[in-house]
Amino acid sequence: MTDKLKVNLIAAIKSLDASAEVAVHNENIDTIEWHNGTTEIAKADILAEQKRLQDIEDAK
Amino acid sequence: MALTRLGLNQSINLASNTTGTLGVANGGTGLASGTSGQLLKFTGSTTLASSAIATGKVLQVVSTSGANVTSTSSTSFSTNMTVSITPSAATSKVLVLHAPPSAVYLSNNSNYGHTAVFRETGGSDTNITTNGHNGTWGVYRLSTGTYMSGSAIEILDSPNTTASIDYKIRVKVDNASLTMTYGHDASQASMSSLTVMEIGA
Repeated sequence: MTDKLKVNLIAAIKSLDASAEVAVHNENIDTIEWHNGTTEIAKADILAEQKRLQDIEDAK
Repeated sequence: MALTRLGLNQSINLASNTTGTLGVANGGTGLASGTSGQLLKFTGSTTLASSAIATGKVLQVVSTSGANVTSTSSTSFSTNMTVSITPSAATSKVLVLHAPPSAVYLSNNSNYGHTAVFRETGGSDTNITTNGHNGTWGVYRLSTGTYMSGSAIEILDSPNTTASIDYKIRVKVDNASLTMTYGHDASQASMSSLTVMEIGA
């Protein structure tokens, strides 16, 4: 058995907006910095995308 | 005032025949006593005083460490770690030491990730690692989806202030198509530290 890749918040954000310029500290969704005019994405949407990507990863 | 004429081969007993102190202008120190373990230091052109030996000594050390993970896809800097110090003299230097995390993750091999040290004091934020690639110290570029070790930082800074200073480790990427995770990930984070030492001038 191999460890599954853990999908982090920034991977979920980049999945929703490939050009997003953001920074996340200690994988805490409340610390997200949105830089250089990047349109903010709702936390719920980020978490939903993270779960969707994680489910795909876990199914591999 | 009574005067005593000294005869040939007679001498003055400095302990009993004199009072007061001999000033610097006359070859003395102008002092009646000093502080044990200290040196004489000119405090004016004709005045001396006891002075502690401060040159080159570490006057204070401030340090922080922990699992500080920053993931970024931004071409602007984000702060990863901060430590504050208030120098005791404007002439002091500050030695900045950063032990980086053992793991830095890059999402692709097309672009660079960077670390830099900033000095923030009185609302002024200055990158003090401007000579490296893209004005940074650490430069990271590796094969897709792999980890590499962080780059240690050592800088001898001359802040020229006695105001409170924040020294910050900051990270960025040079193209938003790259994401860099400085410190592995939150669930398997590696430790890093930031230490600053005030060095007496």
